[in-house]
Amino acid sequence: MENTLWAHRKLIDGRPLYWHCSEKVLCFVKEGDELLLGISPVEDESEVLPWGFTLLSAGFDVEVAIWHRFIVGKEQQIELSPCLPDRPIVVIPVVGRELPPGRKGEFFFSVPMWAALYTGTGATRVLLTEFPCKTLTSTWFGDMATGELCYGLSADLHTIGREEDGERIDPFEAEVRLYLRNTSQTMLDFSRICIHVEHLSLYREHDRFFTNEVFVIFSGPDQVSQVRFAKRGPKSDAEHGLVKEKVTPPRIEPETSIIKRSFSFLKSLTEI
Amino acid sequence: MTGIDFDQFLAYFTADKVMHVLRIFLFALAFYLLVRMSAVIVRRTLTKNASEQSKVLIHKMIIYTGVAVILIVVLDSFGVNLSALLGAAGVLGVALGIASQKSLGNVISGLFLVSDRTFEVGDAVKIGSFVGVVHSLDLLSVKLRTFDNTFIRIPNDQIISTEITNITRFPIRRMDFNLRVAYSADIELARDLLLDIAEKNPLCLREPEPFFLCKEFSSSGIEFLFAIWFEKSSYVAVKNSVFLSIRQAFAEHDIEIPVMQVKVWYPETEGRETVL
Repeated sequence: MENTLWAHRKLIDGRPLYWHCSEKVLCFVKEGDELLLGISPVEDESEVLPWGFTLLSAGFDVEVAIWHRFIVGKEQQIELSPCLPDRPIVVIPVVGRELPPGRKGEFFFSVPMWAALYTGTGATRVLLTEFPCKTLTSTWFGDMATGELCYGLSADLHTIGREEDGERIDPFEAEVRLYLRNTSQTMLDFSRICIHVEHLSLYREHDRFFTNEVFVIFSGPDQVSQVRFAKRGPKSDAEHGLVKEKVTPPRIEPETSIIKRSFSFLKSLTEI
Repeated sequence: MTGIDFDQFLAYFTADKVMHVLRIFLFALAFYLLVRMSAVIVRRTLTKNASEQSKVLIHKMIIYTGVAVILIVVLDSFGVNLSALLGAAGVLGVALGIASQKSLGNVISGLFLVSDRTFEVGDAVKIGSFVGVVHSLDLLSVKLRTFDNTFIRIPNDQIISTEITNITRFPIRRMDFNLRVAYSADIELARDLLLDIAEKNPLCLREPEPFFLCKEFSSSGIEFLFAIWFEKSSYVAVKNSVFLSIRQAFAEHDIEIPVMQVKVWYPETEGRETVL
């Protein structure tokens, strides 16, 4: 069955094409040299059609849609491709975890993906815009003066991956595998984890998406944690035809050893 | 100039002397280019973390020092008595100093402002009664561009003794909404609505968390503070969106925002009242 969610389409002049995701409906119209893109929020979830490209306009509200016009010339091809958010994500575990000194742990969680709109193919492929498929709230990570603006995400930390848990499939999320090691002398009670997704690549295996693995070494609450991103993608099961292909490279190439503050305790945030 | 004078003048410029002048000129030119190059290199490499005004100051200092050295060397090469010249310069400096005390005060205040780093070019600041974006920080004055696009020049020595508020120093800010609801209103519902507004607004930061504080029972209603955190560049968007959301949510849930009312009774006409 053809994947209509992340796919190419050829636009016909004056004939609208729609794309549905969980929170938005997009409308594409080619008018001469221009490509019109309308983005309408989904007000009534019952109107949402199966996700992906369609010719049906259900759920698209012309009045509330925000319109963009791109001058693309004669190009008729468009493509929607998944990508990772443009800012770090602070993962707030729904159920907290504590990692004793000297121990290590392995966790899986999902991060929402963005959609990137391209026009053209091959060498003429040009990025027009990017937008989140699921709205993320902004949050601040670190202290008031030197912290950074991130997206906040409440997420379940799983101890087994999606490959073993077939029920956890969301076409708008990518799974991150996180390895934690506590080399400090204190209990690691992690209430926040800041993942710099801009350093991660995105991999695809059929309808499931993955990022490369993240390794974090925690040396103490007053120390910076060492974060490393796996250079290769997650392992593929080629024998069963389950190959993970790279979809997008990292937005910012990671340094060989990035030292980032990866853990924060609520006490570091100044109270009012 | 007579013919003899002109001959003497020409005779002075022997080939050796012309070569000497040319050498000095080439040296001065090469040294000046070197100074400028050094200033640019220092500005670009050694001061990566310095503020814009510090970079400009360092750049100017290198060039001024370099030009002074070139001048001294050139004058010395021409046989000018430097000790007498420097002595005269000292006297002139004292005279100029006395005559321009105010300007020197501004210059020194400017240096303090630059080293103090209270604000930088591009910061939104409040200096005394003036609010605006710092347009430039010069040796004599600070120039502000106000939000209604007027240009204000404030002398440095005035700024040094004035209270300064740097509005955009830190990347995030708190926005306070001082609200009042009628005594008949459900305060808990009002609190839940406000927190929900903050949660749903993508511009409001999730952390630091929104803040709700009951302040007092005032004469016309219950007063409380609702505060949200936001990224400093989205001030206007946050202010407008949260304000409108509060208005809408309170209206939808019949939470009355009381207005000050004065009731006047006329004792001779009982039962009649006028609301002002």
